[in-house]
Amino acid sequence: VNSSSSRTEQTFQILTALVDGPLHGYGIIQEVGRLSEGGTRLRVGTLYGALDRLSTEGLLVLDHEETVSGRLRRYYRLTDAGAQVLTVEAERIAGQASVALARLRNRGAARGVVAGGAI
Amino acid sequence: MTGGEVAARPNRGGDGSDDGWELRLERRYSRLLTVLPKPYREARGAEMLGALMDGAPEGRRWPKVGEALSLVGHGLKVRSGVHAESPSKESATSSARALALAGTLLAMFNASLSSVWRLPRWGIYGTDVNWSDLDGHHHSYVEALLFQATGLLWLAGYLALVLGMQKTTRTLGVLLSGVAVFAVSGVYTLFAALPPLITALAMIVAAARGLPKARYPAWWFAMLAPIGAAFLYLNLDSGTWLWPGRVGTVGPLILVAVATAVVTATQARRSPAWPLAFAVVAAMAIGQHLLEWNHYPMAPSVVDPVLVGLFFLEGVLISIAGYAVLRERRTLASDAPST
Repeated sequence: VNSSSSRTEQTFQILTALVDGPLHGYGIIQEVGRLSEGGTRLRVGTLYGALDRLSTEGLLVLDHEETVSGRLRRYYRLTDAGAQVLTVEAERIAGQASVALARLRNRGAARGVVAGGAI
Repeated sequence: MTGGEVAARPNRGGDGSDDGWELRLERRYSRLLTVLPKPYREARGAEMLGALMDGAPEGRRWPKVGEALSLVGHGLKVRSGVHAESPSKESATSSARALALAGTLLAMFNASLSSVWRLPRWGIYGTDVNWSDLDGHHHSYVEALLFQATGLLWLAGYLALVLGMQKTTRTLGVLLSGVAVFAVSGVYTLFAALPPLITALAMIVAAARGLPKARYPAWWFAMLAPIGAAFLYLNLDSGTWLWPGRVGTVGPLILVAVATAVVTATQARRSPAWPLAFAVVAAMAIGQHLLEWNHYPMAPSVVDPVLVGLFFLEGVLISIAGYAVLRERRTLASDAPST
């Protein structure tokens, strides 16, 4: 399983969207939109490119399919390998975020000291 | 149903009702989905069309520009194989094997252009066409003897490849790589050493993980006949066949290039291994002759029509090889959605 740190944000969001249960294509688009608070609007071409890749890597599998109003819906499910990769990726991002926040706090404190000294 | 087809659903359109927009939009998205290759469309089209229609707001009749661009981009990626898996190690190994077989044939042909029988006179009117000795003018007699013997090593390597003798092929590959490197004494010999070095390395890679016996060994053995004939003819001949005028060397080269172009064109639909091998070997052969011509004052110009023809054929071979590689990647891509 490739746990590359170079996964795109969209891939990360797709995997995250599937954590709670299987979703079909448009369901994933909606869920990613919700998770990103409207920041990410997945296009269908982009989504299926990512689904092809993630399926090939074994990070998600086809769960079941149904036809609604004559339209085919295939539901995708996160695999254990997919959950593991997502965990690693989430921890990596969280680690980077905490480092960045800590440095920003230090920077703020240092500025306060400099500013106080000047006064 | 495929994405290229429109789902037949009741109460959807064409009758002047309010929901006619849906049918129109669905048709337009279906047309857009034809940017995807047919096998891919058959696997994914209906599902993608469903996702597109699910996301379409009420009353929309035309695809969104962003969605259209995204589909076109995805179609280009699928068709070019960019988003497919990398070719497998098996594919790389079989390409190396094809290259090793074709390369050893070329090396033997080049070796046959010299003459072991005329070795004592070698250096007097020997010829640089003898690529088994690379640039023999600048080597000692002992070195020359070694390089002459490499003709036999190429023959042994070829037979080992055909018969699927893994260890022998690997050992000979290492030995011939060493000979090629040993022959380098300057820029000219460096370029001259590249073809045998590439071929020898291909032998090592081909034999790295098992080596299947050739499927039609009799056919491969038969390939030795013209090389044997050339060897005998050239040893009976005084060698003038090889000298200026060079119709004798260029003519067969063109014939071989045309034949390889035909073979590669027929093989391209099956696997990129042979098209790649032939493109590389033809480039090596042309490169060697360019080096040889460059070595003599009577060398033809690079705009010589024969050379231009050879370059054109090499271009054809490279194009076929490129097509074969893209075709393989596209096949991988179309297999990918079957999760």
